[in-house]
Amino acid sequence: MYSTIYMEREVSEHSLTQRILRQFPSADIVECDRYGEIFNRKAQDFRLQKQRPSLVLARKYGNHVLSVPDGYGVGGVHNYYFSVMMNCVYDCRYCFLQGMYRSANHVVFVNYDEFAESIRTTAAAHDSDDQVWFFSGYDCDSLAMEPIIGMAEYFIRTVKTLEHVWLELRTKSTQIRSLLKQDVAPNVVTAFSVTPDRISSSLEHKVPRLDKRIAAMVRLQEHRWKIGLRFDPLIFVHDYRVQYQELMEKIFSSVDADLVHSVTIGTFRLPKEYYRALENLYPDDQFVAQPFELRNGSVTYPKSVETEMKGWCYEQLGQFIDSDRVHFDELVLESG
Amino acid sequence: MSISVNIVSAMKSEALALIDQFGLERMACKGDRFPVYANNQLNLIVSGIGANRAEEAVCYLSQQSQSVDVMAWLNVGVVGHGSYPIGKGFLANCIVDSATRRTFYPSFSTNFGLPTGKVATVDVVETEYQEDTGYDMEAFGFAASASKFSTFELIHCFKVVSDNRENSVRRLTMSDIQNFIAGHIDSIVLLCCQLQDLAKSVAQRIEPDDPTVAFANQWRMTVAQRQILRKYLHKSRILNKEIKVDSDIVRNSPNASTMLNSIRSYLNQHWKFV
Repeated sequence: MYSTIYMEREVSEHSLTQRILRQFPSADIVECDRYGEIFNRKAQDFRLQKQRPSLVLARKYGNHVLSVPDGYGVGGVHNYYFSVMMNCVYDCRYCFLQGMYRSANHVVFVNYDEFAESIRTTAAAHDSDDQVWFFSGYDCDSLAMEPIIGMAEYFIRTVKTLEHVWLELRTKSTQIRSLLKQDVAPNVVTAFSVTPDRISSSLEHKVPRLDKRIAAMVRLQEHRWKIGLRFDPLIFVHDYRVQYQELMEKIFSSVDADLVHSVTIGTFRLPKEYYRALENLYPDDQFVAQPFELRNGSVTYPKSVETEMKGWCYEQLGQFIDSDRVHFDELVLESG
Repeated sequence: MSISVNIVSAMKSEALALIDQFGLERMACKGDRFPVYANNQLNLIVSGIGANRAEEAVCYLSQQSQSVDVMAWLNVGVVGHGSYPIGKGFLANCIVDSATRRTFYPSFSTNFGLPTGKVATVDVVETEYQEDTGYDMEAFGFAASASKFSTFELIHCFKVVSDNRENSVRRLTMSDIQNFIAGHIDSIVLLCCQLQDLAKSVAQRIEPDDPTVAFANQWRMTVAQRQILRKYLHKSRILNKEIKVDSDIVRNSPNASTMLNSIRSYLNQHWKFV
């Protein structure tokens, strides 16, 4: 998978670094001082790199846990996110990471212990009656790299004993083995992002097929793990009602709606600077070329389209699941 | 869209096999500060020895190629090495300027299928070779300069080991150097093809002509309006709903503002992409 791995000298002896390197015995290992030398530099071509990303192993200093932007959450009182990885193995044309980062290389911060400590400290600062949520999967897919980096396994262990703490693992992946081989953590929600098959195959490159993801949801439920559904981003097409109706029927014909922790709905939106980057990277892409509108600093659908889609989806979901478990994702991404 | 692969070599002896292989001809260049050889796809410049010379040669060649949309860059030369055997060819994966410790990391966005290694660019010939390091006198100057004109993915250094602890640099002849490069000519040809493909894929993103010219003849537009029009026309083409100057939706527009509104309304009807 990786033929070039960059590694900060500081983490070269770290146990996770060694574990990852063992999985790529023929990779070219290049030492560096700080990951930013490779990741943050100018004059990089995200689209070319995306064809064959390298892995960068690094240590994260500070800001291990951050408050979520406004509008992000599933009903918790206090909401935070953390990212042990930057960038994603998938290639979704609507993804904001394409506009946010200069590089498509995958950065993994191996100092999980410092992230875990920060989670514990942050949680301890809140009243034990309040739910404190930690979201993973904001700057990456939480499970797609699990066999290589073991992130979910580690952080499930971290939060398992913290009673008022909840962990969301946002994913489009089917890599659930590490969850199935351990005892259920009742405060962990594996949240699957879903889009109709036709839209997915057109926009979500390298993402597992929907039926495989549904199979993963079912297996998790069979093992009593909580799952979530994320209809985010909703993608507008003229027959979106048909497509999303089929999607919901497909999911809820297999998944037990009573055991779904939460559902969120949000439409496609990108900060205008990220969208500009996307236009430059993929000027020939039909999705990117659509006549989006600029509203409140975000490039998105016209208000009428957004309201109609969200309203319709909310109503349709009511056929399958209690409305108090359906949340609107109003997250406004801020450009960096 | 035009692309080129630009090769930079320090010495004529490093360049000879390439000139021969690619059938390059000496070009008459403005100022004639560096010898430049070319065919219709490839340029080669002989920079002279040292990082500063390599840096200047890259700038010079890019000035000579101003009509080229996307340039890929390849530095070909010999190095001394602390552990590789004589004659081994490799791509630099890390280039350190020994004087400043500044580092350049080439980006490998395609599988070149070649060995790799670290290169340290030094000011004077290095004879105390450290393990796992190749020593040259140009790579860092070359790469730092090329990154002003192209993205990292299009900048690479191919080096052939000419000397090491057992084989002194002092015994090296021009003929040896020529033979070292000639021994890897197939790899270098393939490398050039791969760089050409990468450059092509970048060039494909550049819109060839300004489609607003015909519209500007018919409607007076501000610069901002023309930019918006260009974007709209591009979108209409990608969405397979191409708008031309004589299309019904714009033909009767009394002014640029109305014309743009008509296009916008038209595009808003075409969201379907799958």
